[in-house]
Amino acid sequence: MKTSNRILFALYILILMYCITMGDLTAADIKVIKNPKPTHVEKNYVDLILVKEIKDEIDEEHFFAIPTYLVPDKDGNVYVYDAGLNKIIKLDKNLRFVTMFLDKGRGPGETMGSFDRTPNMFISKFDKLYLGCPGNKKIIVFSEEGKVEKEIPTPQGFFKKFYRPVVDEGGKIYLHSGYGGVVDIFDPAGKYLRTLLTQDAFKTFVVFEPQKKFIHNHTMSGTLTTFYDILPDDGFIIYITHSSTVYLFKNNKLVKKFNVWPEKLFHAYKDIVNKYKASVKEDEDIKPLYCMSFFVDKDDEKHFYMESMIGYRSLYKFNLKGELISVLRTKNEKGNFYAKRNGYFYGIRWNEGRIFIYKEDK
Amino acid sequence: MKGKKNYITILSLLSALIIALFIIVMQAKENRFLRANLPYLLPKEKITSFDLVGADNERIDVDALKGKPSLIYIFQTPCSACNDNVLFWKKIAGILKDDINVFGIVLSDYGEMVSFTEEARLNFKVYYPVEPIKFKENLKIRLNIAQTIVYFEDEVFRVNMGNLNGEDYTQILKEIKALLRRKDS
Repeated sequence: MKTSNRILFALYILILMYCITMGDLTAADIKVIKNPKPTHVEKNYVDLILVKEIKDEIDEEHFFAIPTYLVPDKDGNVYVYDAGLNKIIKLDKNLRFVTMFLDKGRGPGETMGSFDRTPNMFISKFDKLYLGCPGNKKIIVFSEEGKVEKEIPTPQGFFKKFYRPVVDEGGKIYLHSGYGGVVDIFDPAGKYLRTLLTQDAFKTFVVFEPQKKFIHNHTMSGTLTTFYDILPDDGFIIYITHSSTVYLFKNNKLVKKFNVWPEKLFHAYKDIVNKYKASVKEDEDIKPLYCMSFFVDKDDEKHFYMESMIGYRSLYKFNLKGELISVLRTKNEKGNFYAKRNGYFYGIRWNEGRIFIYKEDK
Repeated sequence: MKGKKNYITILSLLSALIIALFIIVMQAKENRFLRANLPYLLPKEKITSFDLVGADNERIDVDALKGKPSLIYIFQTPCSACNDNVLFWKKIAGILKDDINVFGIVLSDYGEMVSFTEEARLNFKVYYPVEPIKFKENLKIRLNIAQTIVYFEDEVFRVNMGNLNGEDYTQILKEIKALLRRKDS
């Protein structure tokens, strides 16, 4: 064999091996911080009081099956996605039925739906409702009345777990990355523009160490690893659950990054992880969660909330400098909070078919 | 002449009557035949036999259907519609559990009944027919398909075959709530 051919052959093997392993992190790539030094101390506690709730029955004609996500608009109307019915139900600020829309299927304005209990809707600044439909590879845009205004195709082969589109003032769309990063940005027509952050963002774990054979499950952008939302003035925020790290962007450039490791929360989380380690089976890949929800305060857009999964629900309120402002506690709430708007906190307990609204006890 | 006319008239009327009777009898026979072969109960029909045994060896009969509206879920394993419906069945049973009777009836073997109940974490009791063949005949079950039956005061109110969708779920809840209001009034 000629030398040049040997070199080419060797290069070919190298490229092949690289392709096989590309994007596939190994145990050696990840870093685990077992005992993080607390970044915040919980001092200021505020109680949340229940203002309103409805359970299962909206009225005599309408019932929830499996409500999984909601978004409130600026007037206090609440749009609830019910995975069991595959419908979006619009309720007014008193949680009374207004209208219901969305059909099941593969045609225009239709979605195949999903029973994944993950965020999938967003209300833009112009009061348009965006619904992510991964099974149909598209986003449907609705008016306030539930009329289909347009559909935006998502790229071929993009499909991941059910995802929530976030839309900025210019109409650009942000989604969990299907290109090996964290968040992808698309233009208003659905054309890919760029990706924010790389897979490196998933390489650090705090307290919890995933089993080596399941590492690849934890290193993709998805609804349990990544939360994101827009901020004013071309700002953007990303939160990675593995390392509990917040990334702040301005004009798509990273301007600040900080960890969120409150003292009590992490002590409690360590206990849970230790209990989990004692009971987990060898082929089980479950990551204990300390945060199931993360959202920006839509009233001032200067704060964000991280929901603790430990015990009864509480919300950790931070400002954009990374300072812990307060911990908002409920007495016995087990549902998940998904939004803060109009002075209220909105949430769902899906397995009870319950929608609830809380406010701060001032 | 007049007599002949009357004779023809009478003969024509008699013939028409005989033909009409014949059509009615044939229709009735056909309807009975059709009805006998339908693989499900029809509204207003009555369940006359309901002998079942639960996982804890509890025995029940048709008296268990009295007093409250009853929701009867019939499923067999394997049955993809049954797996899909479990979510709605559990939801309806959870919402109305105090106000209605809920019976899950598995038509596979007893062991499968127990394991299915545990896997699906059902929130209602599951039973197995004491005499499966007789039970299937009585409830006209001829297909390996899920059924959701609403039953009250000795009559069937609704039968859903196969997969339930969101609309079915809503209609079942509305119907049962209407029956409960009727029961209370």
